[in-house]
Amino acid sequence: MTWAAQVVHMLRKELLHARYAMLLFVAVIALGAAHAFGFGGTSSIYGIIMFLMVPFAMALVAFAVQADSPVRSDAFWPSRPLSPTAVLASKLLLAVVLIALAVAGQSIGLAAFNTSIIQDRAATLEGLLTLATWMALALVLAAITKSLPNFVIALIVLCIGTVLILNFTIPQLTHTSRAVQVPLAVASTAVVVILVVALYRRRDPRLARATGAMLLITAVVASVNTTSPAHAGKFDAPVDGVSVAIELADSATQAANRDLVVVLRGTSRDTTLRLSLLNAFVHVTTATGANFSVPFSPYQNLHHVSEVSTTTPSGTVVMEESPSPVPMHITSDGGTVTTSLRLAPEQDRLIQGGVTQLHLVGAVLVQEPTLMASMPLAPGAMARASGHRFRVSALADRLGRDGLTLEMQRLSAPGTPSFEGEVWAGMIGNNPLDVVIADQSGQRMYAMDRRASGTSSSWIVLPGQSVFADSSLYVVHASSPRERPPSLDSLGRAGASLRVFRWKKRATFPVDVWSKPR
Amino acid sequence: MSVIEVRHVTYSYGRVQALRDVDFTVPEGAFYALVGPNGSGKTTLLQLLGGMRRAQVGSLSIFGTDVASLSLEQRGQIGYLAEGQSLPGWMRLEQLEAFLAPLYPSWDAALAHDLRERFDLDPQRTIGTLSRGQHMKAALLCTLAPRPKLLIMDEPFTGMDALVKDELVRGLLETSGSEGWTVLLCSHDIGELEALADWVAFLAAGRLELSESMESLQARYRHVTLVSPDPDGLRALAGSHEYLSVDRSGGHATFIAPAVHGDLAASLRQEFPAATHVEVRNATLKELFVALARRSSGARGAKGVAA
Repeated sequence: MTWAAQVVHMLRKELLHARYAMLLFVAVIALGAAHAFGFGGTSSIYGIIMFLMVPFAMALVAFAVQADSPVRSDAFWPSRPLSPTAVLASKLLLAVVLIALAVAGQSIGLAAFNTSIIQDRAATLEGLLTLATWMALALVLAAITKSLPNFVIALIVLCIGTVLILNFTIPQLTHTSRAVQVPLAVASTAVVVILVVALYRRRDPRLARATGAMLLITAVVASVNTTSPAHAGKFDAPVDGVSVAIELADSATQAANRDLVVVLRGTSRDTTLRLSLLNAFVHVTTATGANFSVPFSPYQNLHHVSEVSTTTPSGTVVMEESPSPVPMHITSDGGTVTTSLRLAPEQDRLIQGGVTQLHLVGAVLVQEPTLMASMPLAPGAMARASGHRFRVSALADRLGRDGLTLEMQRLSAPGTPSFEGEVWAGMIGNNPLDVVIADQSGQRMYAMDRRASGTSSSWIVLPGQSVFADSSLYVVHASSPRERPPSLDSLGRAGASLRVFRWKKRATFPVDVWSKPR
Repeated sequence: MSVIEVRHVTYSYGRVQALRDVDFTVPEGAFYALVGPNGSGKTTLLQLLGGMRRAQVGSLSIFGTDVASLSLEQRGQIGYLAEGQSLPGWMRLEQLEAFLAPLYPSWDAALAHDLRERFDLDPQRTIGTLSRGQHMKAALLCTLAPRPKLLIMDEPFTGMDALVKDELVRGLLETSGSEGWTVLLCSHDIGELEALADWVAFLAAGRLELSESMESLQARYRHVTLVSPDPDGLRALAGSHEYLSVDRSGGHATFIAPAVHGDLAASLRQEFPAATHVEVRNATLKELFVALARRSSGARGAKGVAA
């Protein structure tokens, strides 16, 4: 049997072994592609399932590799007339098959967004590289471990080890020039590949340990290349088409008011793509010398942030409800998504002395078509930005302002006899909030009769009333016991489906939200 | 011609030396038994020969080629079977046979079928659902069906019932004899080995204590039984370094004595004049194994005391 025939023979065995898991994999990818075409509505469960495809694919590869392990002395294959490199190649081919399936699903899904060929290629390449990296990582880790639990532990150790090493060495590493770092990353990757081949050929436990150590070094070197502030994309010079930048909203005003509104702005060259700003970390240095990070993430409690608001220049704003004041997703269908967060001096002694420096540690911006279509794994174009520093001084002793923003969005498809809508109310400061929605005639349609104390809430306006179908929803009545002047500028507009209002106590505002005829 | 050559092989698991300067050869057509107490390094040695591990010091060659450099064709002529070797548990037996057959030009489907019948194995059964004994039989089937020129087997009788074991032993004897197979086998079942082996090697604490033909080994040692009405008449046995595995109970003693030129019984009567009964016969492999193991552990114990 020739070497190539052995590879095919082994691959056939792998596919036979993993046939049910592969079917599931294909089904989920098909589901993701169908979702990109509108199947299944807007449920976020699709995104979660798609993201889970990454560890699922990694587990498939790990399982296949460990079934013919190069480090287990009771393995079946070494005593058979099988070429070690053919065995390794068959595992690689299995990973390639998985990647090909995922990329095919991504390409199909991308078609739903009418993206250009260039965008398709870029997204496909991005997805392919991302997935290939994870698959390669899974293959190497599985080769040096004897069981799936050990594989998982090794993966966790690798991640933690990489973070720890980066934490201790990043100042030194980031001062290394890119001309050194890139060849270093390539060289260390090559060494890992050589070690894995040698491991299959010699099956020496010492080689497994050396491979693990080298993998850690490679992970560190590769991570430095992608996370170093010196290499991060700048707002004005987007990398891979998207970037994230940090700005101060209006430094002069803020200085006078002693408020600090930090703006995170994600941009894409392509204004037809939807963007999601998933999370970001802003490092704050105060006049008192305190340092802390403000996590801009739905999974964190924000102690230093009193408000988060979002605006998009032209697209629909979707603010998903989450336990924290920060929405799960901030999505725009335009090329820019901007989110501001207000640091609250009155809430935190740490920053009462004034903020002297802001540093965007990192942020993740995802281009939605890629996210939606290819979740297998390719979060698509991820932009990391850092190194944007601002100096802030002369902050006045003034408490934060109060204000209210209301956003209304139709969630159901246009032209349907009924609809679902969402109202999002954002409140600055910890003030009680009443919101009433009424129709054109002034009839109260929906009342948010609970008193919301906090910064934001969202309510689903349920359908069922036909009056909503064709008539305009006119009246929004909001009140706050604290009389303060309108404080927020427009947070953006979203065509016919969104208005953002200045708030004035007990004022009413016409809202031409759902007036589009069927 | 030697099928296997092991030259000064040393292997360590960290600080623990499993094999120390092991050196022996297995002649073509030999049925070579590797015996030794637990932890003596037998399995490690067979794993080195089976390609599961690589020697750290020394060299191992099969068919005149270094084990690490064996061609696929040569590997196809080696059958390796080990207790605890993991077969693909998700496969059905027939799938496993179908997977292995193309790898071996010499795969004998008729023999596979015959062994399956003899071992009463269901080809539709998934390997993972087989009992320990059935698993071993399936592994044996996969090892024998390619009709290998060299069989390396580590505890092949584990989990097998007496009937199948007997059949297997007879089958192995017949086949290896008729087809000229070379067999290297290690087993705790010394009784079975005695029926099979024509060569024997003894490993203790990673060292090869002896490696010679069974005929030569049995010619070198005799099993002796002495009976004396006066227990003191046998007291000299207690401190003897010449005799192995001495068991003395009152006036009755058994031991392994090195064969001497001439009449061993007569020389023993001279040495132990009080003995009323002297019986000398060929030592069994089991008796030799026990004697050598005791001597080996005694020597290590003595070293430990000296240290």
